[in-house]
Amino acid sequence: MSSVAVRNVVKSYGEHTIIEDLSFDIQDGEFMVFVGPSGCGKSTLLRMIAGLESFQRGEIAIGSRVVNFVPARDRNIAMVFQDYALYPHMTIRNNMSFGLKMRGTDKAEIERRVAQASEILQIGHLLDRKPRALSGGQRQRVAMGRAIVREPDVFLFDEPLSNLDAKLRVEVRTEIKRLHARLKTTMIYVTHDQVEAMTMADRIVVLRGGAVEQIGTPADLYHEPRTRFVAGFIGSPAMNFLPVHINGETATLATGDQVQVRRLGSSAAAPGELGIRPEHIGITAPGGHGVECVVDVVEPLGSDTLLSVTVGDTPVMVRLPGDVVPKAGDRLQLAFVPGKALAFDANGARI
Amino acid sequence: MDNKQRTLLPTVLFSLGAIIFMSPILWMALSSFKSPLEVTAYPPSLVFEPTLENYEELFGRTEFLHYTWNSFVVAGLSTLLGLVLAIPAAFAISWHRMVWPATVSLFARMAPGTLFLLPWFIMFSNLGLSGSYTALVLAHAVVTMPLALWILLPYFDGMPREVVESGQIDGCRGPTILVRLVLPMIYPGVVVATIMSFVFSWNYFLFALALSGFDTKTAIVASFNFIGEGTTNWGALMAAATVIALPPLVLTFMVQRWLVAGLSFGAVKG
Repeated sequence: MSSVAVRNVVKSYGEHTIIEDLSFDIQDGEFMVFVGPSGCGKSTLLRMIAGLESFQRGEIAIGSRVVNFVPARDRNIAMVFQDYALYPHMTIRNNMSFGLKMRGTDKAEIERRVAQASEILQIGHLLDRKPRALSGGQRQRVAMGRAIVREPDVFLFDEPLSNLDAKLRVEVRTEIKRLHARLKTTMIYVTHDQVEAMTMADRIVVLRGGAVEQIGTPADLYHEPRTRFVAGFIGSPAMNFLPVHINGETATLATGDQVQVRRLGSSAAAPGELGIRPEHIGITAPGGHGVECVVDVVEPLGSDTLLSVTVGDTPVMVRLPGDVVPKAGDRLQLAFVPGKALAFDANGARI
Repeated sequence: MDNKQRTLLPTVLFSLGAIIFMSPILWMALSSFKSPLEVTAYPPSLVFEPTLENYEELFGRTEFLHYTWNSFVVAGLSTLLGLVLAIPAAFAISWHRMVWPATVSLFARMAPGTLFLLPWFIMFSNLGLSGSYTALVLAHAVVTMPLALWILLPYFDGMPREVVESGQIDGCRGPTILVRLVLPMIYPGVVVATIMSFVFSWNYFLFALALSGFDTKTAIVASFNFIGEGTTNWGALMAAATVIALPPLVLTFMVQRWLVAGLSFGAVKG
């Protein structure tokens, strides 16, 4: 078990900077998720921690040891790859024990660990097969088993669920969480899927264009996004943004309606954007006053009803309780939950 | 009917191609069993009384068995040397996506052999290696190494990088990764490279002609002795050619399955 520290790390390919001056700490035993759109540098960052990728400046430490020049094999980390990366010519048993054999672990100990890991992951019946005889989900379990037997200081996961179908993804996701609860080892997990990030992480690093956009717990990111990017990236369906004129705590919509926004500070009156999540919009009782909208599409999900509506010219997503099912073309009055509307300036920073 | 025609045409074309390719080989094999008179007869006879006279001449009156052994030694060792050099080279070139070393090796292969001969001749003489197996094996490695390198490259390129990285994280150094993880994955490529290198070295004439000594002559050079200034012993020459053609033929048949899969590997691996 180990903490991980990334300090002022810079990576570039020639002129092209991939990671610019990144710094953050990962606590011992923490489940940290790197999330961001493709090309944001999250996988590169993980591979740098793994020792598979070099970088130009800065420092990466695992525990108290700076590992900049420590090769991957000596970092005592284990990694689960997106494409499983099992050794195709070895049986599952040998796949799992290979890393231990390379480190000269004694036979009885290897056997004990393989047996234990295969019990945790329920792959005991697969031990004598070759990877090609396994399904995607089973292969991913084996890849995790191979990581577990090593008893590493840090587990690294590089989009491990991307190749699995939706149902299996949820299953394995739970399994990884359970694993973390059981092993209490530091885990770093890379994904582009914010749902995965939100459901699994203790803390999340949101990356964009090689820079940290925000670091925080899932609740932080959801309730207190620092930028429009984070606000829009976290949460499903995504947050709505409406062009407004902000003056103090009041935002005036293009339609002329005025809405209270929660501000971080105060600034001169200026144009900006109002951000409100679909679940923080309700409809007023008949006859009440709110922001008028026209319903375009109704998606009844049972538990919820999702509405695509138009406010002025702006499309807005609204999430209502499942028992409220308006019809397309209806005119509704929207009410924003007090304290939930956020304000962003023209550059996308929360204000 | 339509379907039948569709399969008929390729069959006919393939058969025609096979006949064109096979007839000289058949001619060679048949001629080796003809008597000296018959072998030069015109028009050539297809039905004749087969005789082993040429083979008796070949093995009885010349040291051809010894020269064939020389060919085995030189082709075998130069193939081995070529592979020992080409496998790590191909791994490194492919891993680092560095193309120029492969191009340089290709140049060595494309350059006319005569270019090397004079410097080599002087070099091997000074080293006291003229006419030795060592000189021949080293010279033939110039044939086998680039060939093996270029055959192996697409196999290494087609190998998933994560497996190698997984090996690094599992605690292996480069050579261990190569031997324990990579080679088992690309062994069809190694088989193809081995066969092709062996065949090319086996049939390579120029270096052996210039660099071999009386004792280290390879079969293909020795077979030239049957071509005299005034007369050529066609029967014995054909017998020698048949013997020379056998090992590559046998090898190719033995590994045909891998050869076909291997030669198309670079193309189908998307």
